[in-house]
Amino acid sequence: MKRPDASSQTEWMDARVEAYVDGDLPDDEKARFEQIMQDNDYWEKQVNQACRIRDSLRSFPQPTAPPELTQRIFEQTSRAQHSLPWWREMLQSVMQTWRAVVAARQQPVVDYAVGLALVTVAIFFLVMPFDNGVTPNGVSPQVSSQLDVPITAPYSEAEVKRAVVKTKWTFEHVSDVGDQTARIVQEEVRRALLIPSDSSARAAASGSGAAARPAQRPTP
Amino acid sequence: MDEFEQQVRQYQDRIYGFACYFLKDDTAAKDVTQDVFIKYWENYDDIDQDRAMGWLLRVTRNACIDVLRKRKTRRKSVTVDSENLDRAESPQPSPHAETEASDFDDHLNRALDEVDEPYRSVVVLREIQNMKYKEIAETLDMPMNTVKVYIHRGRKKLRKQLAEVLDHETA
Repeated sequence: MKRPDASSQTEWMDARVEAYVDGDLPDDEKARFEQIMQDNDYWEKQVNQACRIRDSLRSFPQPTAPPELTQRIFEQTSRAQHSLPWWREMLQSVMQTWRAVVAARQQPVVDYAVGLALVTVAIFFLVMPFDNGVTPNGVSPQVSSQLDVPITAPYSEAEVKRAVVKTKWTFEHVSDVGDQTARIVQEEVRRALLIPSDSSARAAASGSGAAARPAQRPTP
Repeated sequence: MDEFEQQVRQYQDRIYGFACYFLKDDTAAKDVTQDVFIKYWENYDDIDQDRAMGWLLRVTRNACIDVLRKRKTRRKSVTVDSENLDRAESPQPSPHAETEASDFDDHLNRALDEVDEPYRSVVVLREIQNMKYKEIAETLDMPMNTVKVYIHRGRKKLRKQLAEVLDHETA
């Protein structure tokens, strides 16, 4: 029975015209396709039409974004940037720098742990009272001596000395952590500059594939 | 901001070009391109810079689909006379209309407009924007083999639509 075979053969061929034009058919299918095409001009015509369509599409020019569009984008984003409060801008730039350093080191868990430790110490540092001569009730000795009513401190001298020692210990610890982190960051940045990163190696590898496509497009 | 500006200049032609061929309307394409880059700016810190192009194209495609959906809804709600209906369904010619486009290119452009998603996107990205299969697969979040199949099906639809025009040319 030829008709069902012819119909299924037509469907089979029709579904493979574009794949044949692109060279995407497996060898056995390609051989069968070419054999049928040899016996029937209709399929050769379909292949030629598919080539015509593909080549025309590839010759469509690439539109260029007009300069006023670029300007509008920059105006909109600049407006958004300037509407940010100063502390948010600073935070954004710190976060961007931090992300760049973390990406260079490729040890995100360690880096974020160190970052968290630094933030915790910084908060502790801000919360702890300074030993700047202000008594715990908020009045400086110079001012309190001028007042008629004598002011008695709620803390003993020993307690104050212990608090001073504790604060100095905190400062030294923050300084040590800061030094250590700075050394680590320095080493890693130096290493990153000497050794190419994975992303630049991947970009170099993917760039080599572009040369394989035929250059059919007219230059605008 | 400098890095962002650099990326806008690097990617804007491709984004704008994709929107143009998808929407066949310069004004709408400019609006979509602007919105996409503003969205990019707002989410800049959260986007993997190695995959920025894929993110931008994905958002552009979604924005274009939204525009087309709104256009269809507007057409259904507005009464138009039959004389203008055909013109409404053949939107503005592609951006290269100022050059003398051949009749076949015109027909091809209109036929591309009739191709449904996702075939239209993959055909535009591959054949017009010259993207690799792998890049298209990452952008549209589909396997590479699916991308190839969709490209072939999209072009097959074009071949069917243009059969008469092509036969006339051959004759």
